[in-house]
Amino acid sequence: MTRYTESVENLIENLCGLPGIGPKSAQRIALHLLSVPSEETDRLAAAIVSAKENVRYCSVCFNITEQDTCDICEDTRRDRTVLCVVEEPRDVIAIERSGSYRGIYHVLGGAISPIDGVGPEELRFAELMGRLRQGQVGELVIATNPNAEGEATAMYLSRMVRPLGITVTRIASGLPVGGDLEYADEVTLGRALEHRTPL
Amino acid sequence: MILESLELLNYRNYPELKIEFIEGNNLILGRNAQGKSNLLESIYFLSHQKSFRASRMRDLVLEGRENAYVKGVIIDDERRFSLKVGISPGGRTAQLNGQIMETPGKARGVFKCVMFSPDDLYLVKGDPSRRREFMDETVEGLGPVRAQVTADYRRALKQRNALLRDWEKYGRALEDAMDPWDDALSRAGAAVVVERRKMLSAMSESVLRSYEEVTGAEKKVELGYRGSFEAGPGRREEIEKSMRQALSHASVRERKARTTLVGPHRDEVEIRLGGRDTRALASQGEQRTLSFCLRIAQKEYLESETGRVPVMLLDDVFSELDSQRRKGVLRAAGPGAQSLVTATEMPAEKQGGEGRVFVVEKGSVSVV
Repeated sequence: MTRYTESVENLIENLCGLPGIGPKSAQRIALHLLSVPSEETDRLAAAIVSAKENVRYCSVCFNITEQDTCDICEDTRRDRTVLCVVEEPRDVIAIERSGSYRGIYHVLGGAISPIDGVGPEELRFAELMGRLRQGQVGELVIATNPNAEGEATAMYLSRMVRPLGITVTRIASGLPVGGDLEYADEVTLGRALEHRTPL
Repeated sequence: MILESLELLNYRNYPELKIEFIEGNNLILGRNAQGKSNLLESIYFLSHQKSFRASRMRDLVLEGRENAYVKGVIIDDERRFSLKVGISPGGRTAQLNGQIMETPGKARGVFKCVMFSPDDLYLVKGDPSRRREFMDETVEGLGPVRAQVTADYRRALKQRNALLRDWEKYGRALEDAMDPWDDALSRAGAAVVVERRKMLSAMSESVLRSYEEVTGAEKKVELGYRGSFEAGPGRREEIEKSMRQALSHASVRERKARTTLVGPHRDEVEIRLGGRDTRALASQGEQRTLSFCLRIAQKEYLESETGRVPVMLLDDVFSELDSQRRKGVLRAAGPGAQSLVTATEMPAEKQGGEGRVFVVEKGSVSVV
């Protein structure tokens, strides 16, 4: 026997290609699923179905939520004059964990990347511009990733927003706090030096 | 820098290998097709994370195996570090002192070497892309921080070219879509130009001196950088502005060509000897000597910019050098330096001389 039965092959194929999962991991996960009691696999399947059914994008900021608008957009204590733009919902979670941001968000759904066929039209720029034109936001914080695509997206955004007279800022990139300078990777350290600030 | 030991697993024709080199000269002898060049290539790979002769990573893996690695223990001044670069079907990985790097590229150029190979002739004789590769290779040797500009440029170029490939798709939004990549490309491109100009002006002096040393002839050697767009000798910001302008002038042509026509990826290095262009007009002998001098200049540049002496790898070029140049190379690998030289037979200068001699036979290496 050089191949698994059809349904096992099918399972492996469906697992393979999930983020971070190659053919070998897919095979391992599939065989693991087959070895556990069926209550466990039922639970997993139900969790996937329920998440998919209940979760939608917030109608305002496009973060993931189970209502029409997300908890952050609903929260009246948030500062609505500061708006932070991120690529993905997981970036919202990351910034929320920091506990140092009290403004609201806008999730673009990615970064501009022609290689992947993602242009400005594929992202939620128009919706963002609509929100900004309402006039409440005074500062736009761009928190896209510090890579080529994230930087290009930031630049594109800052140009679009400039005519509206809103302050546009970019989060700094630099050293991890609590780390040793000696152990910082050289590229990060170089960037941190380039963007040093006066004391 | 001294490569103290080298460990290979499934690399080319080496299923498993562990050898120790010495400071100074190491001579690697063997008949053809035994694995001498593969050995040097693996060391080059440890530094640059690519081969200078294979384009596909999986060609470096022993037939029938999936994973391979090259590991070296390197003495850098008084410190010792280990570097391991692995190849697997998923890509490359790099470990520095046992710690896995977030991205393997961050370990590129940490270990420094300069490779002399018979193909170097094409540095002078070959088309412009060979000289651009030479410059990019040199910048990579400077370490991950300086090499970042090249990586940024390549990435922006790839994105911009993807856009130009089917620009009709964007309709009226094309200009908006191009804008951020024009910015990114000009910014990174200007940094690349600054880096290359600096490199060539330093190398010009090295080449001039070593050409005279080798040939005894007083012919003027000049390395000139010819950009694909007009840019004064100014600072990075000014070059960036010029490139941005050149890009907007080229926009109609670029749409037609569906690719980026302006920038360092189209630039050229002119090597002139006694006022004449060497690519077409110099003799093969002159070209060979010049290419050798370019490698010496590369070594000296890495040394003066980083304070580290790169390991010299000489693949089968000894037989082509006359005795004067051979001595020059061996002298260059003085104290605190190291050279690894492959040859099919013991050169006359080495018999009974200092240094360690290895013999390679069918993928195994022994010390004589």
